Amino acid sequence: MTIGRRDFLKVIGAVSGAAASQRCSPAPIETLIPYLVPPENIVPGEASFIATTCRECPAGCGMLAKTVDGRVIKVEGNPRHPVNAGALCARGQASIQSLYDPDRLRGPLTRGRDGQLRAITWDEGEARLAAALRDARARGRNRVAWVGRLETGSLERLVRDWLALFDSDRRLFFETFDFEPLRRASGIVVGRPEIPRYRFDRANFVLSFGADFLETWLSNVEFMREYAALRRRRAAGGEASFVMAAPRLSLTGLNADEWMPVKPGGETALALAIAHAIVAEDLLDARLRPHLPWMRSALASFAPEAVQSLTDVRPDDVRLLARQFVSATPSLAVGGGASARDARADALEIAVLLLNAVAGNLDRTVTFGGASALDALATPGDMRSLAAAMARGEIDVLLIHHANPAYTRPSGDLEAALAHVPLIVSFASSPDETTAHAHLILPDHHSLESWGDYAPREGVEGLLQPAMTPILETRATGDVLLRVARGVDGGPPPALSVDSCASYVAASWGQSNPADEGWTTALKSGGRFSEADEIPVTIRDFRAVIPSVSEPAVAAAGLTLIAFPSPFMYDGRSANCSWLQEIPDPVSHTVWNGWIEIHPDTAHRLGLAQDDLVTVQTAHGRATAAVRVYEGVRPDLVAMPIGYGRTAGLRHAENRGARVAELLPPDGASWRTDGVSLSRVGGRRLIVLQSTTEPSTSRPALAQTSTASAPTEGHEKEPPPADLYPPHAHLQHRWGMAIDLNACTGCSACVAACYSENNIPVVGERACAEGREMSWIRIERYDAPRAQRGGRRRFESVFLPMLCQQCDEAPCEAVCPVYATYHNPEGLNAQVYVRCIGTRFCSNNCPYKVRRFNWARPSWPAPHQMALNPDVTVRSAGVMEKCSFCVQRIHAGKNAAAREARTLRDGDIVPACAQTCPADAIVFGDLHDPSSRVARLAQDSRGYHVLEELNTRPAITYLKRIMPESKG
Amino acid sequence: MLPRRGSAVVICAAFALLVTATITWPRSGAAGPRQPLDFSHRAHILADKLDCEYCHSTARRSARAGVPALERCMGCHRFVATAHPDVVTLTRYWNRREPIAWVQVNVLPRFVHFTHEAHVRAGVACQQCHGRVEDMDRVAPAHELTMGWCLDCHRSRQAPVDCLTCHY
Repeated sequence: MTIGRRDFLKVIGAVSGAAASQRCSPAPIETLIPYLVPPENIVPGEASFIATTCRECPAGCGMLAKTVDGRVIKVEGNPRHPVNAGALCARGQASIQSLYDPDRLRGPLTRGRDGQLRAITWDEGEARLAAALRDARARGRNRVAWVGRLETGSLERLVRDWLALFDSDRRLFFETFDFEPLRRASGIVVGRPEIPRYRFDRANFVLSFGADFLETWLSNVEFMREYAALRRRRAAGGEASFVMAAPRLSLTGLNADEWMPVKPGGETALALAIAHAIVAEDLLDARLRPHLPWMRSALASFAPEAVQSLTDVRPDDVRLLARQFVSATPSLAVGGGASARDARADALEIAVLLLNAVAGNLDRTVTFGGASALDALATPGDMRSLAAAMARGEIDVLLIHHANPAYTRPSGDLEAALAHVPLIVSFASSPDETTAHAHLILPDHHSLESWGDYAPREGVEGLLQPAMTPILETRATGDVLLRVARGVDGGPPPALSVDSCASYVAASWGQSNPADEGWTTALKSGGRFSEADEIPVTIRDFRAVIPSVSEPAVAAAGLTLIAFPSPFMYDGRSANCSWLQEIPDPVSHTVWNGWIEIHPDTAHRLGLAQDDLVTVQTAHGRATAAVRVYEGVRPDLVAMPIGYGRTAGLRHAENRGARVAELLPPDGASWRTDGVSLSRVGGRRLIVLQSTTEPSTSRPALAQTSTASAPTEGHEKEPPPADLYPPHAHLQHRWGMAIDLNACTGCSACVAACYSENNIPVVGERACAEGREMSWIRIERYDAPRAQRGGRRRFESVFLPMLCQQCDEAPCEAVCPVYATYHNPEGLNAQVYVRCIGTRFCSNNCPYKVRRFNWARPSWPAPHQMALNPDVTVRSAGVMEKCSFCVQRIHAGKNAAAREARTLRDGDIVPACAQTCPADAIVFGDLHDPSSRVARLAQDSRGYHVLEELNTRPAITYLKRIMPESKG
Repeated sequence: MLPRRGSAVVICAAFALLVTATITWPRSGAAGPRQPLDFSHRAHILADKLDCEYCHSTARRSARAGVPALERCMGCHRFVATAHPDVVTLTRYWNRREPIAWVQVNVLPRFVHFTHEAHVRAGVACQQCHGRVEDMDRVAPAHELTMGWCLDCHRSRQAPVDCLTCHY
């Protein structure tokens, strides 16, 4: 008699089951609670997508909220939206974490005499606000001030009209990263004080002076899509596409073909030196000939040799770059970003615009018309005058709407001035450093629960509609304003005589006019989208302002500090999103912590090592955090991320790093300061790095190919080694993926999307330190610093998204004693959670290290459990898990096709990672279908498999990154 | 203490009870879990000739067959058998705007992703899994819903037997 594996397990199961049954409790009673009245067009259990707009940053990407049974479980980019065309960044993906934030404010609060907050009713809160406003109006003009996030359209008008009711026009739209220098420079150079539109899609070559356009600068998702297309196009011809001139290598910089570590503060001089070289070598754009005489004299003092001491860039390199920049016309120069922002940032933007002009980029890659919403932002000067007015006691009521100046602005004027305001009202939905000063908190809905609209630029009007009913006792700020307006003496003006904010928005979109289909169309498509006409510009004679930029930077003693925006924390607003804390920062690979970045040489000189706690002392303040040693900063630099050191009592954000604003000049216009000293505090604070993603230089050949050989070299296909077993049949489909490393920028949006789609638990800092993170997809980075030539450095980084390779000959399958992982008929390497007994043999045998073990029972702090995807099993402790190629989406795609009685089409099934990729680097499909995109890409000459020599036969083909040949 | 027309109501109610009792009297078989309301599938299917999908309206287009909204019940019972004690209870729920928390009879573990839609599309009759609901007053599970039982049917119909069909 033979005992099969199954029989054996049955016997064992019966024996142990009898023993265990004593402990089992009866299954809990499940109840089915139907609707009283079913909502129209909602099918229980079926997802519906509601078009709205992301308000995590002012880029204003279109978003589709996936709702099942009335709750949002995932957000995706809206494919019809011209800004993001279906993609979202990691912060956008994590926006449902701010919706289900366990620390969200649950209802209106007031601060008692003892300084403690206590709950009140909405009627009490609104009555108190109304009374204060009545008194303020009686005391005179402009005694009510509004500081809020950037609004356009309905809410912009509503707030303006509402403030007018209280005789005030003090309304500031405050964003931490304002783009005032861009606006001012355009006013000076071309006479249009607007932020230009940058067309990366039209450019052949990008030169950035510190602008982190793939992270936080203006509109990162849009730029990433355009830049990825540019890089693909240029790489195919073996041409370089991007040079970064900045003192620190950001994520954007890591994507550049070349890094010029320019001296901090030397960016302006470098830009003008390049312009000088273009003019001197007579490469000037023909349209600018009439301007040649004054330009020549104005730029005379910026010969590359003359400014070398300011820029630390060799003159030859400047000339080479100048030729490169002009020959690739239309090219594009961008400048700014927080780290290049100081009191003289206008000069840099003028220089960059001038550079674009001399290279003939104006009206081609730098266009005007279609003004950006950011033009309406308050300037640091506006904030200073408001603070001064507050300090003089001129403000009776300060209203703060989704802005956190007490955290993001340097300490000083504002915080002191807040003490002079009798009533501070906050409409924040989560507690923050500014609500800590508030007397009355009237929490707003989250943007996913709200009506509204937002137009990131002229012509692109996005609509916000609630994707679910509010989960807490919050109230839309628009409604609060309208209710207060109703109570004023004499009643509200006609513009504000509306019953709710929802009707106000609908009315402004033409809902009342039945002939106008705009409203219903907008509800479906997410807004009204058109492109404004481009307005040609001509450069003005601005020689008068050039001398002012020639002042040399103050030669500072000691180190220079720059603050840079973290691509995940933004200005700190995303700090309580646990996914963004747990996904490693793409540059530093740290998780759950802030840090102080210094060059290895500096660390050596000061006797510091990684994780040492140090105090940074500047003229303005001091802050303590741990050291992270990084080769991508200049040795004369200390760099700190913005967004850490939150102190608002948020569970995921507390106690992580330091608040860099404390170290900066109080004007609020600089993210850089000189004369910095570092001193060791004693003690260490471990900076947890996600071990599996830490940059590696050991395998540079893994993922690169050189330009010259790429198109022809192909991927050397060795004959497949002999196999003991017959190949898998894969009768109907063979799911596969292609990942283009030429496009991947390492932004990690795919990682966040995967957390959201697949109910991946967050394990926290300590478990991460033990290497127990759970992400199914990670971004590996391979750095290959090549020989330096003078100031220019090729700091070649390749980002490689690593996920389960769904091998044909999977090493994990062979070692599973219970058949929990096996090869499915469609080529998936299946993982059956209920079978898994947690031996972890599979993980041990996986050469890609993509299997994750649940060491602890995962938990989701309420109400975050509402975000769980019902189509994916929530795993428990002791179970192995890994990427499934989003098998639930494969089922959904097949089901949709069957419903329409048709066969599957290429593109029907899109996994969460591929769906959100702004660079379109990830392509999924059926390898059996020769016409599918993935099947064609799998045959690409750049294609290779990771660790091919192991004969695992992965289903994922990576397309090698092409490194342009070094020139000069 | 009855209102003026109270006696008429009582007579009507008694008559209605008599009629419905003949239909709803439990006939045979083990009863399922006690529900908040003694709803009889038998009465609705055999006596009223209702199709399953009249109430479980999403079985053909969703993973879930759907429990009817209270509005659907009231669509008929605003006029039909209004004096039946269970209908009176039902009306009370409706007037209180309170949904009825039915006890689930056929429970699948969370790690099984079953979809009604695919099974209806494949022509599997409801009774195949749910048993002869038309004969049940209080619905009881007809099968244990074990994996082996699912697989027997899948095998006989050449339906997929890959683990990932249901477990993901």
